[in-house]
Amino acid sequence: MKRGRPFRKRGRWQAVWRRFCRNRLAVAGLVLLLFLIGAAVFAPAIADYERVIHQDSANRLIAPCAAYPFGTDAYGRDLFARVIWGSRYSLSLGIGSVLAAMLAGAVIGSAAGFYGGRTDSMIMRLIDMIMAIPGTLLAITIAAALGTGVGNLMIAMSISQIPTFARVVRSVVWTIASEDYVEAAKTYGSKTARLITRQIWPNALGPLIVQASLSMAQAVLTISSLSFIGLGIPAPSPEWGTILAENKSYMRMYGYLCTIPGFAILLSVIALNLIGDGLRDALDPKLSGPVR
Amino acid sequence: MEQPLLEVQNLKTYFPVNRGFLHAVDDISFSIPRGRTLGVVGESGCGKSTLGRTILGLTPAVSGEIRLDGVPVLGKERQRQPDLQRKIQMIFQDPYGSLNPRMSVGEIIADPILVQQGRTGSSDLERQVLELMEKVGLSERLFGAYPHELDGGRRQRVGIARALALHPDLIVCDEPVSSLDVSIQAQILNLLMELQEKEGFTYLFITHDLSVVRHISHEIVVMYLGQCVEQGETEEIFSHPSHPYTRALLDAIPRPTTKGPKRRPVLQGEVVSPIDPKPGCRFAGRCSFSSPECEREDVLLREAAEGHWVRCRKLSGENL
Amino acid sequence: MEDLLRIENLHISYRTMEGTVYAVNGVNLSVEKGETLGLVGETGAGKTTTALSILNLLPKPAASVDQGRILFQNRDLLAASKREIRKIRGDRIAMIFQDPMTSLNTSFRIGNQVAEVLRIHRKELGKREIEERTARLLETVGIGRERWDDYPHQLSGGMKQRVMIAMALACSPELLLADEPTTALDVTIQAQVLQLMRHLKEEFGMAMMLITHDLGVVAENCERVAVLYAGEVLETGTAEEIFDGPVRHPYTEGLLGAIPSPDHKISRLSPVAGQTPDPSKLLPGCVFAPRCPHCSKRCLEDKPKERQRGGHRIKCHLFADKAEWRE
Repeated sequence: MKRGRPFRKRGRWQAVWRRFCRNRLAVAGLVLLLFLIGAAVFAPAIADYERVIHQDSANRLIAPCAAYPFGTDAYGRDLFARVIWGSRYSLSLGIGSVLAAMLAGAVIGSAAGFYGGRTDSMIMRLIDMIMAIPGTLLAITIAAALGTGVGNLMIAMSISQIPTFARVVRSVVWTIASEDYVEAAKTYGSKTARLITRQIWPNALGPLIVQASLSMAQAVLTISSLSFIGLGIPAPSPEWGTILAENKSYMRMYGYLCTIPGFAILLSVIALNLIGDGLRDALDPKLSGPVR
Repeated sequence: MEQPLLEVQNLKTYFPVNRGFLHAVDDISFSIPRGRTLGVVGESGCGKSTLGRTILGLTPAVSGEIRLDGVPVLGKERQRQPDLQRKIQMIFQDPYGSLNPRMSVGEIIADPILVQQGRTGSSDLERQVLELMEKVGLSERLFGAYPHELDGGRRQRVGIARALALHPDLIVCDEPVSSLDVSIQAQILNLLMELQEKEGFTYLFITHDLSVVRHISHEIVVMYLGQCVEQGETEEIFSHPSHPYTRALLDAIPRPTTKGPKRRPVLQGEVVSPIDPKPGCRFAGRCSFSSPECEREDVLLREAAEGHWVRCRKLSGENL
Repeated sequence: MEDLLRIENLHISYRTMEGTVYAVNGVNLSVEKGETLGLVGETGAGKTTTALSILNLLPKPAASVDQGRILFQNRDLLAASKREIRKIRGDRIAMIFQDPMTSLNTSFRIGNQVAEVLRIHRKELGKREIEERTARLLETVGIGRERWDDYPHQLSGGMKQRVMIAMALACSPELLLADEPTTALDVTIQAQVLQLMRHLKEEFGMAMMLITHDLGVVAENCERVAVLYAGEVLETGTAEEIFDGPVRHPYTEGLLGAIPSPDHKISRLSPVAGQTPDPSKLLPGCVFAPRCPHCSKRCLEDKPKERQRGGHRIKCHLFADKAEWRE
């Protein structure tokens, strides 16, 4: 009898994907995000980097037109090129910092949730201490201490998000660790590492993914905020928050200079939030019926 | 006399709680010969599941001894025997919670083999899994299926196949049929009995259901608040139930007939908490035959007939 | 005798992501005044769906009643407005659920929860009267005065089920729907609760629909029994006919053969083989045919008509040729 590949993975994720696709808003969010990621990846093909930094005093503050779809700023730089290239910073930093925080949070949270007891108390009190400081403030503090720059911003962002992930993972792992199938795996002698990676993590992935997409939205906002107040990506790099900061004094007369980068931030945050909500619903086992 | 497969002697498992110690298993002793079934019966909170978990090594014991094939396996002794995990396996009550939802049927059954033997050849592993599936009556096409695609009966068969994967000597069955529909329950009971006849497995069968226990067990331990109140050969106990609690349990089972005695006496009161129990018979508060002495002094297990042990002052059934 | 409740040709389906599930397919049932009807069947037979539909408690919009009538004292409950149903619910028809742990509100004292039912349905009663009635109800179900101010989590499962019963009885309903009321309880506690329900039924003179998978509970507590399988009633009759009579539906036979007995040793149980059918597909023939030991070609093709002898009704082709069994 043909069974295809013996230990194939299917079923659950297919069902999740099917349910996700039924949620129109979530799909819209995904399309939007893919569009933004596409813009970031193909930025060099869309607009030459030269146009991002090239100052042209002859063409200052031109309203959006055919040659400059988003207009130009006070230095005569092409806003379209800057916003497109800016997506590289926002998205890569947002995604990168969240992935790093997720990994660290998963390890810390798993240890706390799996071992419980004293290990758990110690880890969680430390996390509570970090949590007591608002995330953005923490990122500001770390960024201020480390200095500006892409690498430092990434570190600041990651550290400020680790507690959230550690908490989510800890509570999920704690619940799963007492499930019968984990007990069963113990009875036939699975080692701790195998228990966590094989039995627990695959089941903890759902809530983690939801948290990740929501955190990414938050991260995009934080990055822009930090850049706006001068602690993020320094000018003249075209980070969205930096662009906003540069142009804020022209906001009254030349509204497009702030609304367009602002809109870019808004779109990416909305997209990530919609995806997060869609995933949360799609992963909810209560909505899935038994397949016979 | 032949060496019993499992010997449990004066086993005690207590849990620290706010107000003292919860006596989950309080001085239980029994032995199971190879290829036989011992039924442990009792209501929720009587410690029967803790007993099973202690034997499996999932819960530490306070004192007592457990020997498998004459070799002590409790506490530190356990770590010296890596083979032990192969020898004792478990079948769980909840066929939904005991299977990892992210693993396919094939993966679930293969996992114990992978854990114990490390990497084996993929085709050899697949052959072993398919053999196990056939043994428990699972169709080959379910190999790649996921637990949520199966009904309760098939899930429980997967759980059984996983327990059999390492060719264990002893299988602890913790309420393996109580969450299943009657016809599925009967199918699973028949399967367990056939497996025992063919392969000589030994079962420790934990359940709240006296009818099931009578059907499947050779010997019985009736537990109440951590203690054994009656113990012996199944037929002996069912023909001469001697402890008032055993009798009450038997009376409480509704029979599927309209011809039986319609209104049997109903045991009043509820199980009290087994936290630092007072001396005296633990059943005295609910027992209609109890006297002041029952509440004062501890009662020991006494032999009512050969091999039939009862923990009651009014030992023989006649003076009840 | 007059039928208190009559269900006629009830069809209910659920729409799910995986397609339509046909939960109830043409159920006919009746409960007379003061009698106890046992509704037995395995998981997925449609027992709970039927009960929920009586009080319009089906999860909307997933579930839909596609056909049929539910007559309570000759009034069609399916056609009644939401307001009318709400008035009947808890007042004239009450329901007890399987899980007493989740059916009580965890943040109210139990005395208060019982009183709440009276406050909703007996608005004319004063504060003092409500207190008195609550006290009497709790005493009736055997909950001592010292526990009235307890919260649900302080009570055992059996006690909680007693509180649920007190709430159900608060307005002396004419019909009590009890959905697996003792399944979550230990046997000795189950015996206590069933004893209580029998006493109360006599005292209040109400009718009861006892839904359970436990044939023993049905045999000892019901006058009449309906056996449900895959959304159809395969057999109805008195408890004597079903459990101790000479003939039964093959499915009922299979259910009885699956139960181990505490009174004598059987070497092997003889359960029905196989599993319950996929509820998303309707079978052209008898629903039980694929698992039936007496299955013939005709069973797979034609749906058997219900035949009766006296009040004993069976839906099976085996009874088609027997003269005493009339359509």
